[in-house]
Order: sequence, then structure tokens, then C-alpha cells
Amino acid sequence: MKVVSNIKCSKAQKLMSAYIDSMAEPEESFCLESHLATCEPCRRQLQSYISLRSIMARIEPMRPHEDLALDTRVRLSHARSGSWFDRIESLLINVLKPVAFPAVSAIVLTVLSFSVLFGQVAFNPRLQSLDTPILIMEEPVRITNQTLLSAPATSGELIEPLSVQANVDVEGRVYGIKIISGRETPAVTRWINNLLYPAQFAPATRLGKPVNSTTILAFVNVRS
Amino acid sequence: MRRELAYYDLERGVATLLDGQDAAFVRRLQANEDAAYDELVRTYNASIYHVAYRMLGNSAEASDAVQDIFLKVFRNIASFRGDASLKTWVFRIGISEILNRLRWWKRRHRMSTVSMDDDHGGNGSGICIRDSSPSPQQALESKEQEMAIQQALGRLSGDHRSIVVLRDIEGFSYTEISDVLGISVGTVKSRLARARADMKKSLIRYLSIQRV
Repeated sequence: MKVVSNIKCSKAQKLMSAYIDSMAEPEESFCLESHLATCEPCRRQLQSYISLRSIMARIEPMRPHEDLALDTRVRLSHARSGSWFDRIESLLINVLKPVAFPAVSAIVLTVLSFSVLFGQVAFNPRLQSLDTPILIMEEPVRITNQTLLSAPATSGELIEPLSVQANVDVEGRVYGIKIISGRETPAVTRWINNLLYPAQFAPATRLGKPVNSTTILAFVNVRS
Repeated sequence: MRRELAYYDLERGVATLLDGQDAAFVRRLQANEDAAYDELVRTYNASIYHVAYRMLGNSAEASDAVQDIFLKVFRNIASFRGDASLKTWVFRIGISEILNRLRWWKRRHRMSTVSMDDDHGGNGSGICIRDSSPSPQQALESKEQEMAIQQALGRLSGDHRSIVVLRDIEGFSYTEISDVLGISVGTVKSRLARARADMKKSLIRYLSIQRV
């Protein structure tokens, strides 16, 4: 490696870039200038750096497309005019739009399907006749008073079989009686009232909770 | 003489050095004033486009970058603290956006190409060396030289390319480059030296015919 002055050519060439911009430190400039005074190859290198800077500086500034400034102002204007609420709204629209159509379609199809199905069931007597009540977790009224099973009656009170509808409250007490079949006479009515109103029943339950209910009781005259 | 006035940032309660005109202008931008944004675009549109074009080598890409850069300036102007000049801050955003685009293209292995037919933004002028009365032969040589410069820039890394463009084409000072790129002046010197050495190798043919 050739050594001239107190720096080598490689070091001198590293300093040239800053030197041509007058950004080298004073001592670096001094060393470089001393080196250049005696080194012809490095002088040519310096010339080429200056040439490079010269042709780069002579590049004509690129003019943008004449619509670019206008387009930029329009985009800026749109961005600036959008309030906070508008931005959230547009964000929601952008997020929801892709799912809105499928979701609405699914809802409409579901409603239509159930409408058709419901229509077929609701207006088809054959299907309706197959319906049975669903009694899940329900218990009917039960008789706890054994005297009701063999209530004494005179021949004038209970001549023919009698069906009675009794309303039983949550405490197992009868609060309404209606004779639904059999001969209804004052004597029969008095007899059934005296028999049922004081009676105690186990109330009906739904999901384990006592509820008001209606029960049907049948009486027949049994001669002993 | 540079006028430097204390710009008192009310939100942060700190006084920072910012050119008086810049400070007033920044307040207008932060107040979302229409005229201020028009002035911002008018002031920086051409220079940012030039930098973007030189770094990206494609007019359409450079135009997209310019629009995105101004949108980022708008979105971030509220956080501008005035610890650099507005020009430096705008170019910092610009170079960052351009480097991001370069990295994006690099990840997709895009080859940097320069077309002799590129009309460079539709103005039909192409790249040209300043010349008061070019003959057809000189114009052709100038265009060829410009193409060589653009190709040489394309061979540099993004960091080196940005330094060469800012210094040798846009004429930024070392301090301004340091502020824009967020690196020390010493790093600017060393990177510029390496970038120029690479450019010199690529353009040696054209440098030999220069009369200095």
C-alpha cells in the first residue's frame, strides 16, 4: 500500500466525500490536501467525486403529474372532513357490510321455512289430532282424605252417577264446584258441597311447586 | 439570517425552537385549516414527489407514495412537537413511507427497472439534465446518463439511496439528513461516502467525460 504524507490512499478516499461537501474536520482536510499534493491517482479520484456530485446536482427535478396535487388535496379533504363519528360509522359499515347480506338472507330464509312449516301444522286437522299435551314434571290433584272414597249418601241425594268438576287451590282446598253430568238437584248440590268444600286434597304441582288446578271426580251410588 | 422563535407548546408546556413562520403554519395545520393544507401540498408536493420518484424509480408508485405521505402528515400533525423544522418532519415521514414501500417490494423480489419510455408522471418530459439548448445528440446522451444514474440509485440499499437523493439531488445539509433519518452526522458522512463510492463505480463511464 502506497503511503504518502501521513495517510494512506484508502483513508484519503474515505475522506473525499465529506471533503467535497466542506464537512471534513480541519485536521482531516489538512491531511487529505497534503496527500493530494503528492498523489496523482487520488487527485483523479477526487475529480471523479466532484464530477459525480456535479452530474447528480444537474438532474432536473421531476415534475409530478399535474393532477397529483389536486388528487392529494381531494384525499386530504376527505380525510379531514370525516368526523370522529363518521369514521366510526364508516368503520362499522366496512366491517358489517360483508356479513349483512348473508345474515339478512339467513334470517329471511329461516322465517320463511318456519312459516311454511307452521302453516302446514296449524291448518292440518289430521296432524292436530295427533297432538298430545306434554306433561313433564307435573303432578295432578290427589285425594288424601280416605272418607271421600266412600262418602255416605241417602237415596235422595245420589240416585244416579255424578261427575263433578272441582277447582283446587294451592293449599288443596276446593274453591269451586261444577256438576258436569248427572242429575243436579238441590239435595245433590247440598250433598256435594258439604262433601267437597271441607275436604283436603294434595294440590297439583308443576315442577314441584303447588298450583291451582281442576280435577274431575266421579261418584256412583253403591248399595251395601 | 434564520429567524428562530420559541414556539410554546401549550399542551406539553415546553418551549421549543421552531421557525416563527413554521410555528404559525403548524398551528393552522393543527387547527385543520383548509388553506393551510392547500399550502402544505403546494409547498412540498413537487419535492416529495421528486425524492419518491428517485428512490422508487416509478412514477405511479411515487404518486401513490406522495398521497400517503400527506395523509400521514395530516394524521400525525397533532403530535408534531416542533423539535425539528416542519420540512424535516415532513421528509422524515416521507422517507419512512418510501423505505417501507421499498422493503415491501424487496420482499416480493421485484426487480428495479427503468424504462426509457417512462413518461415520468405523464408530463412527457422524461428525465433530463439541465441544459439550455440541447442538440438531439446531447439530449439523447443526457437521457442515457439520467437512466444510468437512476439505475445506479436502484442498485444502492434503501438507506444509502435515501442519503444520496437527499444530499446530492435535493441538496439537504448533513444536519437535515441527520434529522430526517434519525442518525448522527457521523453516520451520515460514512454512509454517504460508501454510497458515493458505489455510485462512482456504476457511473465511471460518465464521470470520465465530465469536464470539471
